[in-house]
Amino acid sequence: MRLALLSGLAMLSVVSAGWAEEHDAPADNRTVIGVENELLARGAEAIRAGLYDEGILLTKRGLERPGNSDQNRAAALSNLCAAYAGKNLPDTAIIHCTQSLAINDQNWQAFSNRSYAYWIKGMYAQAQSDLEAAAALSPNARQVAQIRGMINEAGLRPRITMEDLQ
Amino acid sequence: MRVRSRRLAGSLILLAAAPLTALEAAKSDHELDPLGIWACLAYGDPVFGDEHMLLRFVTAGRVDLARQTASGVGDWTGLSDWTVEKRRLTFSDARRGRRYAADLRRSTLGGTWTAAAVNGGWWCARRADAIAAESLPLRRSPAEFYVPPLVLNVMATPRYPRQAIREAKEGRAVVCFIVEPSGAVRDPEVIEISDEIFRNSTVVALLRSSYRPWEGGAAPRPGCRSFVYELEAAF
Repeated sequence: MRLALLSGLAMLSVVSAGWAEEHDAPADNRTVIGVENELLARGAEAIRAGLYDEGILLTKRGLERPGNSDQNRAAALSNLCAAYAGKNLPDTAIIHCTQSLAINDQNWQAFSNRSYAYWIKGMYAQAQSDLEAAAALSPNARQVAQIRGMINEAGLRPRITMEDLQ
Repeated sequence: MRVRSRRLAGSLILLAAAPLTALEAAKSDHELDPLGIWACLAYGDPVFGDEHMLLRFVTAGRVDLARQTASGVGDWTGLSDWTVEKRRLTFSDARRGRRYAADLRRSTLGGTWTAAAVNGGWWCARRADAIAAESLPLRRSPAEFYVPPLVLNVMATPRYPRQAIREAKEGRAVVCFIVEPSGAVRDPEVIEISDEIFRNSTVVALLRSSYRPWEGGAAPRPGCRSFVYELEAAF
């Protein structure tokens, strides 16, 4: 159950490849990687499909190519973050997300991915902080709501008070 | 979880009836006949707390009240006439400055009361020994209807709905019900609920609760319970 959720969230958080421009719903603020770097695009697709090792390999090779824009580098690093989070390697994920945000701090997916990685580590305050940053950039993103629910479930203790009226 | 036994103070500024469910809507043709004697509970007054009383509705349109305390039951005192308009019963208690209202589409008598600066609710169980209007025991002392207070046997704690935790939802519910002489709870009616997400867990917990059985009279009793759902940050 948890593994399924992990991969689902990681997939959702992957930055989309160039085809997203053809669709008419940019409302989720997806960062678009240009088609000029096919390796990055294929890496994103592999990660989206849950093929994390393949996606990581392709993305790293794509990052080694010269001529990547800062936007593409930031998106690719965020994708690596999502893939490592999907592999349940949150420390590595956090490193890549942080690198991504150092290049572009307006990428809500990187904040969302890092929030998820912190959640895996049980660092709920940090997860919450990153989630708020993601929500500020993309308030309606579905995975932001998903992660918020996971953080709430882990970090909120319920209390029920009953009174008999008589 | 903790259970608080203190009486509810005047925090119940509530009681717009919860939206009708499909089941309630299906019962909308039903109209309760108020005639008879009812064992009632009025709550929400910050000064008087929860009050047990008997209400007697007679055909002439008059309603009498007898207060029940730990030491017994007082005499009948007349309140205003009661009227019914569009299945809404109303009457007044001048001494308390309250105006009572009840929706007669409900399964049992109860509703809201309003005073100058505070609102509350009331809830009744019909006294099975005094139903027919023609045979209302007008000359019987209210002491004959005295029943001891309900004593809790089991107070089941609801499960906090998982989705409510995920959405960080807090809320409250007030449910009134009838207690059988066996101590079993029946006919729960949610009269206030802040969010439908809490309805099922509230009612399920209530129906798992029970009271100490009692003998003598064998008339069912009214009861109400409030549930407050809260979340505390753990980090």
